[in-house]
Amino acid sequence: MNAPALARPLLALVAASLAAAALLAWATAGQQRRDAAYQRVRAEHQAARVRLEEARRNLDLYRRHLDDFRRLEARGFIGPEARLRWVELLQGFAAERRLPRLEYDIGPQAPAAPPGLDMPEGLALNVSELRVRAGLVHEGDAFALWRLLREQAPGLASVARCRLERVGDGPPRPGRALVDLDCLFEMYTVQWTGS
Amino acid sequence: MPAREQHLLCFTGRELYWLAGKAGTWLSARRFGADADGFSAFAAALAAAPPRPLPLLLDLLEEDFELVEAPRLFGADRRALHRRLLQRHFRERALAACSVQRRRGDREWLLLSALTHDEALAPWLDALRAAGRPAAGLWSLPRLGEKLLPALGATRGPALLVSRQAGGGLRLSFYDDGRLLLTRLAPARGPTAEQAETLQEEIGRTLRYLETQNYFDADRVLDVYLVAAANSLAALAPQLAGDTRKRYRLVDEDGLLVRLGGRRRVDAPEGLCAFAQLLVRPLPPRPHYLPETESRWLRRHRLRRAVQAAAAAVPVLAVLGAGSLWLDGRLLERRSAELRAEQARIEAAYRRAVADLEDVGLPVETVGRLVELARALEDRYGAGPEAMLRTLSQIVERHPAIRLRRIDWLRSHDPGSAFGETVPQLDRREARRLARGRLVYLFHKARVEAEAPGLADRPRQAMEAVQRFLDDLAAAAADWRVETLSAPFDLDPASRLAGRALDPGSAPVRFSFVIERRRTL
Repeated sequence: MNAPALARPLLALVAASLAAAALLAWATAGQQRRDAAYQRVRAEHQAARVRLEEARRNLDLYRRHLDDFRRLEARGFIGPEARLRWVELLQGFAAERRLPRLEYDIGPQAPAAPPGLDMPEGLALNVSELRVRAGLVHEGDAFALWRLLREQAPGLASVARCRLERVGDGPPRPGRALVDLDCLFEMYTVQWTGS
Repeated sequence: MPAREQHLLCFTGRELYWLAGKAGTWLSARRFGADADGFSAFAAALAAAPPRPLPLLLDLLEEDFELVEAPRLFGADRRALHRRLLQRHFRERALAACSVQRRRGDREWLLLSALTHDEALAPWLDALRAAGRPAAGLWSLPRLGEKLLPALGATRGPALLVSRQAGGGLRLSFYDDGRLLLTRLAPARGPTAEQAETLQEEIGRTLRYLETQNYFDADRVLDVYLVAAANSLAALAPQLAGDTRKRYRLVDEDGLLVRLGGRRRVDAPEGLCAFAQLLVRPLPPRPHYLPETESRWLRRHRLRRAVQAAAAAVPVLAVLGAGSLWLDGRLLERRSAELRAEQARIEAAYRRAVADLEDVGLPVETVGRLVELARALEDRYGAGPEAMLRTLSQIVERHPAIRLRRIDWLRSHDPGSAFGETVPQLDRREARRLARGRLVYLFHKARVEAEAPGLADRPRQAMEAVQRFLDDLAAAAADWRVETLSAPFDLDPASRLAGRALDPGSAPVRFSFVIERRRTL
């Protein structure tokens, strides 16, 4: 009795395996190519999404802060100091109020580092001391001086120290000092130093 | 798809039957005698048959069975024991088998069986080998009965199966819990009405033997399954009624065949088709005997079939796999296209957003931080002495005897800055946090000098007026701390007090105090 022949089935199996391997290799290569393209597109898509989100966040930031920024810019908080404007304001104030005397002394500008306040990167906060000594006709002149510097002087004006002393009696009269004033103002400005 | 053909050989010892059918239906039964004509006809039939192994069912008188009790062993010991038992009982027999039929604890009952006249079978096996279609296996009909019992509903307890032997006579096989313990052939033509008396005698004889061997308890009722044609059973039924020791169950052969998934359209020997049906099912039982030649051939044949199946399956699987990969790739392409479209939408939205951004010359984050910084500075240093002075003025208006002379105001982060007033002591933790910048205080502080010019000659009223003024101030500025630095008259017994009683105006009534507010940033 002849044993069942195995040669032809084995040959067929080898041929089928080779053909299958070739087919699978071709299909795998195609799939890998498409997968790589998909991963590339997905990465680009993700990057675009990140860019858009950043742009939207920036837009939102701008919308929230732009008005305040413009106000600060107009007020002179951003940029170099405008000392001349300070002097003009003080001279105008003394003349308008008919003060018997008003002296000012502006110190050199220095970097400011208020405690507990983190300074944003790329920004430099500076401060200059402005000392004002004046004879006031009325106590209300002190309030007017503080308001004037705070609202009209370029930069952010802050009263750091102040002395008010009564030096005369009687009704207020232009040119006659009833109150002696000695105040120290801190004039803050900020400058962009780069990223 | 063409219906699958089914073929089965049945050897009775004197002749060979070839049952053929299709799709579960037995269509023909050819008989071949054990003579030259029979062999040549068989060879011709083999040449025309499909080229695959044929199952061979044996319903032989010359098949011996021995039931022996043996210890229960495992592995190689078990195989060696079985080999020894077969050698002892069937020394010269080439086709012998051993199977476990019953187990009780560490003992088991082995059914040894062998073909005692395999020379009669040899020419048929040789013919099969010569045709290149060896037997797919040899199945013993009484042993195969074990597989028939589930269809009869007799898997538990003792059962006696009575059927007609293909070569003539009656086969009586006794099973316990579905396992064969005894089988014998009786010289009768079959379970017919004419043979009822003989049948009952043979069953009774078998029963007595079983009782003698303790295989069956005499007090029990035995279920007897008679498998025969429907007309034979109908005539036999009345004659079997009234037997109280045996419960006869008359099994119509055709009905049984249907239960096994087959049909019969051929006049084959009675009972044979039911057994034959068991061997053409998709998963037939293992052969009871298998000659070494057939075993080798079958192994090679199965290997060949497996290789052929693999050769057929591999391309199919490869096509399926490749198709799956191709589909996956197409899906990825589609997803890529969708992502590209979405990306284009995102880019357009991005361009719109960028166009809306006004160029202020600074990065957007810096703008936000700068505004935040300005707000923080404004919050810290925006307030000056106005609030404090307004409050003081309001209190002074309510106390006409008091007049302010001098105010020194300052703003500071330093808890130690003082005008001579008591500075509250910091605890260690607070001092440490202040030093590290984790805690920041902001102080608004003023030293105020005042006087009561009209009360110089009335020290008591002057003291009371000053005290009322200070109390009023403390009540009006609840969040401020007020501390007196100097009183109009220092009444401390440890200090010195001097003045001119007749010129009170020469020593004006003056006092000073500190007012302070602390804020934690």
